[in-house]
Amino acid sequence: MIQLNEISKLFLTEEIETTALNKVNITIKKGEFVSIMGPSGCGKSTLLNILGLIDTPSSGEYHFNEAPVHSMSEKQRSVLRKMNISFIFQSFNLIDELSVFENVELPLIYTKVKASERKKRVEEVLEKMNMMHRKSHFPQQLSGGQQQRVAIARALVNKPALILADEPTGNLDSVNGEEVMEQLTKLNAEGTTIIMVTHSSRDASFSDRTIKLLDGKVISENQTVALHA
Amino acid sequence: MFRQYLKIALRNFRKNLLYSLLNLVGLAIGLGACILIVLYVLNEYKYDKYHSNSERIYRVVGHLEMDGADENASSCPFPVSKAIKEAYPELIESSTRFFNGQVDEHTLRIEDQVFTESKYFMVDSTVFDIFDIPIIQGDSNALDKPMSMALSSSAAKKYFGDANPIGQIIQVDDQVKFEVRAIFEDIPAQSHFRFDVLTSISTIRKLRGSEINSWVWNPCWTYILLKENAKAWQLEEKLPAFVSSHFFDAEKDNISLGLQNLESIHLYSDLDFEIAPNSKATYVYILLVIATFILLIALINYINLTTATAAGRGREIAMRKVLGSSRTQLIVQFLVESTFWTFLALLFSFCLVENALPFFNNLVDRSLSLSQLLSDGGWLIWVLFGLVLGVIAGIYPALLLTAIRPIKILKENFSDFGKNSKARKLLVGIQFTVSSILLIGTAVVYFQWQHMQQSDLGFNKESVMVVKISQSPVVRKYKAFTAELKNIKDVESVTGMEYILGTDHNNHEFHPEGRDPEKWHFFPTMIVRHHFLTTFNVPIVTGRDYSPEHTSDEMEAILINEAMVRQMGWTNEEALGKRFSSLQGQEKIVGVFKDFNFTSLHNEIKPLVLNMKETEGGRAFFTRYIAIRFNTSDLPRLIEEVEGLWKAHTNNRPLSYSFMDEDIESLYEGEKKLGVLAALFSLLSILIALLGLVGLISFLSEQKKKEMGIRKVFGAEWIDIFKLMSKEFIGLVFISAVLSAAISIPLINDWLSQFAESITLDYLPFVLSLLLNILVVMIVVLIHSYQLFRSDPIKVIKYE
Repeated sequence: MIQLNEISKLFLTEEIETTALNKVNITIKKGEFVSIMGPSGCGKSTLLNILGLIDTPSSGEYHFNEAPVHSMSEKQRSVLRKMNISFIFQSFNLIDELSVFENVELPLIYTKVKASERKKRVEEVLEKMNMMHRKSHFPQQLSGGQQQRVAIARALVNKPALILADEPTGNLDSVNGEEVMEQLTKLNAEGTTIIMVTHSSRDASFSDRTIKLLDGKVISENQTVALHA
Repeated sequence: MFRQYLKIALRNFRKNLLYSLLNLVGLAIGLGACILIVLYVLNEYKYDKYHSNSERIYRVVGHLEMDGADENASSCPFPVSKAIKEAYPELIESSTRFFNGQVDEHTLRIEDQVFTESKYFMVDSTVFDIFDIPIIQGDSNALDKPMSMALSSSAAKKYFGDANPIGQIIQVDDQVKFEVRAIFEDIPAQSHFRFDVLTSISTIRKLRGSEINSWVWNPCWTYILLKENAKAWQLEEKLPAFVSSHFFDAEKDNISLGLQNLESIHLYSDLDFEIAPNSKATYVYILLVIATFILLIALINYINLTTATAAGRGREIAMRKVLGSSRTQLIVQFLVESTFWTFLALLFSFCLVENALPFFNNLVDRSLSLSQLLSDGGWLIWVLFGLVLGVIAGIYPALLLTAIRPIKILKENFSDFGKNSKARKLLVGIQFTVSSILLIGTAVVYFQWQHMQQSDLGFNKESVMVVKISQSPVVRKYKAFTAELKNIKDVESVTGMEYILGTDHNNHEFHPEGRDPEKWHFFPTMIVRHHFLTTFNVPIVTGRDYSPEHTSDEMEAILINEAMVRQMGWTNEEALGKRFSSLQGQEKIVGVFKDFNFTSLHNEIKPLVLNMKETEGGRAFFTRYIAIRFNTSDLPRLIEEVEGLWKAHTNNRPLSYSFMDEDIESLYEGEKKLGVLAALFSLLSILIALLGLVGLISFLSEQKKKEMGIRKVFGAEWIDIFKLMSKEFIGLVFISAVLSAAISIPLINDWLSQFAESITLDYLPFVLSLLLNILVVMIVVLIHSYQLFRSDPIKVIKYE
């Protein structure tokens, strides 16, 4: 599904050049659950942003479902992202002014799904996340765990082929964190490819494979050993 | 404490530099516009108040209403001045007349030099007792004797340079020689009329051998000075009896006299035959409303931006509260800040006004200066104004910001503070409403002015050159002079007339058939010469035009318009042959011509009589202008040839000419000036509102950066972000459009009702205003939404 060849990313800040990613080669198959780990500043989030098409590499090739993303225009990348990729963030990134329902509905509006269809799909996914009873609430009226469940619902509603999760349990306590990881595992089992950036070995243990980064380079790729029940 | 408040105010200014600058500039421009208007308005109210007796000086005016003629004259017959003073010595201290021979320009000859003078009047010597006219040379008895003249210092300079003017001789209109016996200070600009040359009116008696005793002819502007304890109403009560005992029996039932206080003439007098064009109080009120609107817009900007940028001050306020500051202390802090900024804006605005004054003075034809506002303790009023303004601007943000609970700010995300304010929407809505009213008003004034310019007056005013001939030798050589004019290449037609057609007219007395033969009937009349209707392309509806072939026409023929036919209750055919005799003539109606506008479009078309005047002397006196219809674009050649002929016939007098389309355009000078001022200040108000909008939208887009980043990640395109950002403002623009229409429609209809011919108020001004507001919002939102879309969502989403 994803093929990265020699992907590099350089940042220029105040005349200092920083290499965030250095000739990274990664292949991810459809249906995989992959964790990316590494210390702060190793390039995990940069990699995730490039995978999610919200950032572009400085060099290298990126094929998504065999399509050459690296030679696409911003508009083409935007369409590809809208139709295939969704995000879950550590800080949830829900819009405070929108209700739970409206937050989840957002990606469907931008993919021009009809209102009646949108209602059906939002209710389905909220049901699935067990958040239907909170659909009229606003983010600030929810607990952290509930907010992340809404964020997952939002990520799911467009039935994406790929979900990118950036430390999805980072702002949650262990109970809520466990719950979120179980949801992600369940989604993966249903066929969604998931790539997750995490600091937590426990969270990584939910995935099939863990890629470790250090100073912008892949230093190891291992099958994961389950630490959870 | 105050020092710390100011220090924090300055630091906050630096921190939010863009918004603070927008705020300050908007406020300064708004205040500048207000100061200009205040300067103009104060100046308008100063007119004629420099006379120490201004409250006791009144102008005697006359009203005549008779069978279709409705005359509100600012002038009186010759004998009124003396008679009224003699009749009521217990009330009137003194009286004087101003008479210009009903000619607005005179020729002054000094040896072989010839000048044209438009500020010339014959006056009674009492003029110096009534008005404050400081004498520089000579004395206030200068005009006691006939053939005496007094000059203003600038006129003396113009005519005699550095030579001593006293004792010099000036010949007026190549007739009477006057001796200069006094020099007076120039009349201040704030006078409802100006005079540079005064001559003794007793000269007329000396030349004629008797006074002019007509109680019908009313060419004298008559001013009286009431006694110190006398009241105007006491005299007004006696005026009907005065009319009854002095005016002719035939007309006294139709005439009434009134009094106008000197101070009120400039703004409130709009009579026939005004001594000089006046301003209108309506325009002053409109400008005051505009000033208030601009101030409101500028203040709303300040309030909006202050509360919007308060997000960054939440922690400061909370910490001050935690550390023991009372709410009152915090309110005082905010008020000190707002007052500081309003004073700074006020200072900037004075600089702006100082630089804008030459342009503004040129625009409004005044000599305004800032010193008029700041001298004589005026600065104190501005200090108070700054304080009041500071409190008004600061009180809402102060109350709003100091009401928040510190724990809420310290625990929660205080950057969201002030993000969604209904009050702010309300204020922005008020701004849009106010600027829309100004835009709609400006558009209506412009359309009305354009309408008056382009209206079909019923005669052809284009390609007509007008030459002033009154008081010149040409009046006696009319036929010879016009015959030569007709020989000039491209001159199509030539005629003579009493007034410039379309600008003014007079009322003359007639005995029409079927009306009381014992009474004179006054009708709007124009004394004309042959070829009048053909020169102006006015068609005859029934009967015939004057014709040189009918040699008796001058004594026996008269033309009337259709409105006069209706007034008399005849049909056009019935009118032909009816008797319509003038003072000495035996005229009958020979033709009915189509109605045309013979005064400005402020007035309806009234009945009109065209008469050739029965005597040679009468024709000479009343033929004041010659109209030349031409068919050439080579105007310099035409003017040169006319001037050559003129000089040959007038012993080298300067030619005084104009073009009729320009003369008529000048009738709407007031509307034009109002239109230009309204447009100028409306544009300024839009600019100020725009500055506020730019500030507000940039601030809101800064706050919405994260939300837009999230939306972008989940698929939002640039157009989605644009729609979201503009939705809030476009809604407000539409609501404001409805409100502004509801407020402005009755006001505009009221203003338009002053015109006999006005535009029909349609949707165009409203649509234009709405579109302009939408355009402004769209442009600002477009720029910001594009910037938002281009900004990197990773930064706003990830790091907060």
